[in-house]
Amino acid sequence: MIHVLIFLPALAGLVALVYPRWAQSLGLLATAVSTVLGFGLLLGAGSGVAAYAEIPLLKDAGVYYAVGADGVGAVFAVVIPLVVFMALLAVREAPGRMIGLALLMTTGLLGIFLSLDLVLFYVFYEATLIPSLLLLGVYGGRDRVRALMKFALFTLSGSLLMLAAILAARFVGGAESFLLRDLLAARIGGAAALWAFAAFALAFAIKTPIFPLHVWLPDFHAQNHPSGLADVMGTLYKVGVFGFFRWAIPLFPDAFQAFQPYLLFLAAFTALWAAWIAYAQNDWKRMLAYGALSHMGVAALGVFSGTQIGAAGALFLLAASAIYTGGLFLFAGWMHARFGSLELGPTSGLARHAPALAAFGLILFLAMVGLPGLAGFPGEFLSLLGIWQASPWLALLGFLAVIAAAAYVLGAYQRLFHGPPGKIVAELGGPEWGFAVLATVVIVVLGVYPALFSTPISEAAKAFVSVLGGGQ
Amino acid sequence: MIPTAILFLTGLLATLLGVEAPVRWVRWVVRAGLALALGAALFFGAEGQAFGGLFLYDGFARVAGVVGIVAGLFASLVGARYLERTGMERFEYHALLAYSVFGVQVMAASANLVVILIGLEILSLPLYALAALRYDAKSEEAGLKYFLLGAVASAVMLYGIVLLYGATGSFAVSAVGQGPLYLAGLLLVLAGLFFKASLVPFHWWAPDVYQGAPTPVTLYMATGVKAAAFAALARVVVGAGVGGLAGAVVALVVVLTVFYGNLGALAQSEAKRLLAYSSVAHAGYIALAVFGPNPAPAMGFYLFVYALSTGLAFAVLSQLDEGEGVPFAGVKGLIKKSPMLAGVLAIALFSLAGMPPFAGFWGKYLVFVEAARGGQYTLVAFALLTAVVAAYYYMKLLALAFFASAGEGGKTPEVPALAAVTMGLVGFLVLALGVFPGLVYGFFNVGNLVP
Amino acid sequence: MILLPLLGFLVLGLWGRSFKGQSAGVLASLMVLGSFVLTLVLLFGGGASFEVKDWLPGIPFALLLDNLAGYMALIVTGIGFLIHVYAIGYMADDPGKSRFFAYFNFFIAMMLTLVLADAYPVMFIGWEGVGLASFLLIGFWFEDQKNADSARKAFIVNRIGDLGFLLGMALLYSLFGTLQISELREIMEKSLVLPAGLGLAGLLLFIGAIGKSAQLPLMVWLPDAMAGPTPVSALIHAATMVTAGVYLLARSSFLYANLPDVSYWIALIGLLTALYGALSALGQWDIKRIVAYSTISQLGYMFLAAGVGAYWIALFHVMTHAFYKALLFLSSGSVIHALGGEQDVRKMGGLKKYLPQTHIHGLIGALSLAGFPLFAGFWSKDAILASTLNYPFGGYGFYLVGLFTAFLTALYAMRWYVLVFLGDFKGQGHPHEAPPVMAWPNHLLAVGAALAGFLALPEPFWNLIERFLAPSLWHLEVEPLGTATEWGLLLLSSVVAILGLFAGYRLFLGRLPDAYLAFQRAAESAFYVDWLYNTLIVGPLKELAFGFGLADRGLDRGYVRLGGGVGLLGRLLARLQGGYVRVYAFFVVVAATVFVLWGVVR
Repeated sequence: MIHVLIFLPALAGLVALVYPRWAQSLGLLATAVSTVLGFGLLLGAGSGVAAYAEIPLLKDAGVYYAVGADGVGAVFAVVIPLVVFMALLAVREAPGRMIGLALLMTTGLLGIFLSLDLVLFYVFYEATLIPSLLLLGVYGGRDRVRALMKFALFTLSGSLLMLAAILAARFVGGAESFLLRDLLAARIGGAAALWAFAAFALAFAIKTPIFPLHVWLPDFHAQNHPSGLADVMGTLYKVGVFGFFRWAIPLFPDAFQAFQPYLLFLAAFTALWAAWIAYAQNDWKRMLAYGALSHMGVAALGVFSGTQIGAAGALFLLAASAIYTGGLFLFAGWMHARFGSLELGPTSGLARHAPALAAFGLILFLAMVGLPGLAGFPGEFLSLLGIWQASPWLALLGFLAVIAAAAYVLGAYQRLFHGPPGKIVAELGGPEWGFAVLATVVIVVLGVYPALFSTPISEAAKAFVSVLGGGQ
Repeated sequence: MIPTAILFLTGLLATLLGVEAPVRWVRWVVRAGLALALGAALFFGAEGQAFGGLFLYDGFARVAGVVGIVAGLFASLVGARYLERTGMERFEYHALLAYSVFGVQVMAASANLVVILIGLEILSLPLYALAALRYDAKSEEAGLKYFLLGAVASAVMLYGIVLLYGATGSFAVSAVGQGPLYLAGLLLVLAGLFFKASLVPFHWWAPDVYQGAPTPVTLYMATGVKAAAFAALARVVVGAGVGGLAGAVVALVVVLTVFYGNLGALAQSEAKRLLAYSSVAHAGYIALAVFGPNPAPAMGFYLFVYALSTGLAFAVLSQLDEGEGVPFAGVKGLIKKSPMLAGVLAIALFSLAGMPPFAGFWGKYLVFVEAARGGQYTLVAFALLTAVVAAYYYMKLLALAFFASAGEGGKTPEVPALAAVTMGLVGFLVLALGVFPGLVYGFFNVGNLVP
Repeated sequence: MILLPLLGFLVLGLWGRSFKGQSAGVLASLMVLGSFVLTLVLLFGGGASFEVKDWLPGIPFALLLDNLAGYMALIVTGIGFLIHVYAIGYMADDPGKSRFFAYFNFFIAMMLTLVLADAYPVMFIGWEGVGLASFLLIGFWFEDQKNADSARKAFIVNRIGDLGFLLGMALLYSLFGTLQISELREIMEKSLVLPAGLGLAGLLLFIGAIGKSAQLPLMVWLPDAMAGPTPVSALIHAATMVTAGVYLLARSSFLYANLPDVSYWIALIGLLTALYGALSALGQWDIKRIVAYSTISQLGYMFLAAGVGAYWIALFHVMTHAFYKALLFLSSGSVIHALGGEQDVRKMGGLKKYLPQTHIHGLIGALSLAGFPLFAGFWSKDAILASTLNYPFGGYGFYLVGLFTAFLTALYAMRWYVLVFLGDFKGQGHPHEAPPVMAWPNHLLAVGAALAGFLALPEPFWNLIERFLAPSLWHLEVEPLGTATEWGLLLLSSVVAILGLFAGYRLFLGRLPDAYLAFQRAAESAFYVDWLYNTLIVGPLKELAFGFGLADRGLDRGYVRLGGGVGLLGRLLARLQGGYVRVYAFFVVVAATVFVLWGVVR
């Protein structure tokens, strides 16, 4: 089943590339099935790894196709197809082939979160880049090639060096294969571990992203297709935090502890810096890009805290922010469809003519602000509890950023919805309702009953912490 | 051994036929011969030796030979349009190709320095002619350059062989001696092989020749010749022992090569020349394999997928090339003119960039594993760092083909059906091997390089 | 209890348009009434609790209805119900009224969550929820940019306080490993040694309370919050939201009772806020802003009480204040309603004649606020003043300043009353009395504002409230003042109150002295705090945002330069490839020679 879960979207994607007219319905079907399967995994998730499967890929070279879902994997096995499903509900004017690429990416992302073999992880990690690049390159805005180059080069400079570290992770310690358990059984230490961790950290810091390696992000979002689909995929692709959690830190715990203070500081700085800049943005997508960056800084802090609760919060935040940040990008797409522009200035007073639209927008925005009772809060809160134990001062910095979210988010919201009513715009219509209702339900359910995700994540985080040698 | 014989006979037959029969026949004879040789190599490739061990058809020879045959076949199958347009469609082209592939088999199948040199000459001499075959100034310049520099390199290598013989009293690659004489000899032999493998700082001919030569010939040069050169190089280096001077020299050369090849490619504005630099850089990656305890599978696999990928890229360029090369403007907006060409170009470039799920990734992965097993982590990291640069220029080419609007006078290139099918198949293979590398890995998993 | 108003919110929010006429308001009011009744039933049934284990890892979703929670819940739902009813009349003609009542119900639901929470994160849900509701309500008439801005300001200033709350929770968690209030309390009861850092935790939680209860220095949002419809102002200020800070302190009494230093700061801030609010109230011209500043001031009193350790008195004042402040706001609302939206007191006056009912309400409210003997506000305020003398963290300084502030309070209460109801009418049109649906809640509130004080009388009379709340609060040893002293103080403050009222009556009916006018100008802009914040903090922060944006671009450009540098290097290298065979041959020979030399020499 787990294979179906992973590869069904890609299959649909391939078909969609050939028959673009079916793309949307096929995509909806495939992601719905994957979501349901993922949900099955989630409900069955215990303390161990569920649905483990292992097939030799290059047996002599010790590479396996090994997948399975621990708590974190199961959560993302739900979140990823679910978010894509919602995105497909929301987009109205996306070309069929674009949807096909998004579906290919979905499989890559699922693979990233479910791989239990390091090389397989790397394969998925890199493979996902290709449709992502194509999405940007084919369907992006005027300056897309520049944005694409930046995105590709940043990602690759990290990941290629990581490949060297991946080899070191196995061969320095003499592990039997690249399977996670074999690697953990023969962990490497000393200077080699420091270097290898540095390479992993670089790759994941770029993908998180963490200051000063984030500069690809704003352009990436600003140049992507206005429908927001590509941005959603890009948001899901920010897997750095997960990478630290699953691979970098458990494989090189000592090296991590050597780097921890610097990483914590950079993450906190990222959170604050980005939040601050978000305030000064006049473009929807740039604002969201910086806002999401700030949230990722907080998530990174959570993982870097090295505590169970912090890591659990970070991953919860990662999952939840995929939902609401993705939702906001799609929302921006709707705005673009209505006004033909992504600027935040010229329109106002939407709440008058489109109250339901405004209400839905508010829910998304508030989730981003981290209002308790919505999906954004539990992750931020748990991260904070963890970060405090690592460093109260950085917790303060990071949480200034969380608080500051209110400033830029509400500012944008009010510029759009409040004030004297301008042009009459279309209210929520047709399939948009489907997205709005689904997204609202998900955001509220995760806010009101976070245990749905936090319990399995926390189980996985327990293992993470035990690797670090105790802690809570 | 059978394939080698088949190829020799094919060459002879082509030469004889060419005197009277139409070119069309020669073409098909050569293609049939290559295909036959390929089949023989794959299915009846029994290992063996002849001439008292001078000719050694072992597993690795078979692998390298297959790469050479595939390269020749590839060039033959996709080159039709180019030959037609540039007036090169003469029987000599096909016959020379067959001879050269035969040369590859010989060079790959020996652990004796003299035989290696003979093989090298067999494969090179036809190439000198092939490079100059287009009958224009550029082509002739390329042929001449290749010949002159090749002569220098051969001389250097021959001199090295002589010194080695003087020092060890043997022509075998595994003969290890000592003293300045031995070391000088070894280095000179290596220099000659570095030249053929286009490793910096002996690569000078490559960009100019690749660019000037007829594109299908470039295709073959960049892929088939490299297989032979690396087969020989690997035997010599492993024979001499990577722990010693040979290893140190290769490490130095690898650093120079990946650095120069990748950075130099950045400055290019013509697709063939860009790929020439890229193939220089790839030579550096391939060479990494020699550091490992078991270099043959990695090197063979890399050579194979690299031949497919680079071949595919040059195959696309062959369709676009009107005889004057392919400036970037010619690639611009390819997706609109020919989605099929653009698609296989994308596959080729992603594979060359080493991105999964394309075969090129596993090639890179395997050679890096070998280097890592040999403890060359710094080298690996450096090579990978320069691979970022490589990604940039591949991406640039790709962006031109996909994301830029079409340039002026953009004619839709007509791709002959055969070429299209070939490219499609190869593209599929590159993708399939990327997803299931285990399918063919067993074939490359051969034993020792040195008897 | 929580679910009822939440249901109302959902129904009204989703299908609001299908509610015609006044049905939306009626439904919403019934929901709140239902909660009220339910609270009563449960409370007399001995309380209740509810818990979802592992809501978050290690943090349960716990609700607890004990006496303290019940007391607050009754205030919230009781007064909330009256305000709901009043709003039916006040909002009768507004097209968005079902939306309005949806927000209202949401507010009540969140407030109840806050009150009933037995874990800080759960309290934080309510805490932020009421913040959100107030954001929505203040910005209810969102088409006016000013309202929207006020709403945002309220939310953001509150968020600053929330930072304290969040960090406080983090610290408590790292100290005790739990955030359940009842567990924390048990731990505190058992442990003899206080962990270091507890004071900081208390301080951080207190910052949260400062934000929510509009204390110095985070009080700037509250006067601006007057932008919302009047019942909103009443609901936010009087009954509920702003008293959440006081409730937090009372809930955490087990914490603060062990932290004299922090308590001292609480009292001090409360005192200063009371003074500042009273002074600022004297300079306002907007009928609602006067009441708003008075709220700030009264909240200061509550903090003073909580700071000196008299938690039950703070809560007592919460209740009396809820009555008279709601009354004041609603009568202001009636006045505004009567004048068709006019809020400037300079255009009022003499309304006694036109609005006899409202006049009585206003008078009772003002007297209760001023602490006129026997009115509700009198008893609670006096209890606060007295507590500064006998509770453990009190002192004479607190008492004296508090007394002076009481005088000011009486003064501005009178000013408000005089300007609105006495003198000659200076506006236009014919004011008319409000409909019964608005008048009746005021009648009930007026009764409360007059009589609620009798629930807790000083010795030797009965004191129901202290006894009722005692089990939920931390027990502090208090030296009784002695009946004589206590009644003496009572007398003193009555004199002060009456003096203030009288002074106000004389002062504001006649011509004002010049010195007062100068003071008034400063007080009108609340001593320039807004301006100060804008220039010193908000402005620079905004500028910095743009600056950082530029810096980020610069960083971007730096990377591009780096890329350009690599490209340049590439071009230089490629230049070696000049095309001349002789050069190439030379290179090859040189390279071979160098290699050989190197190899041999090595």
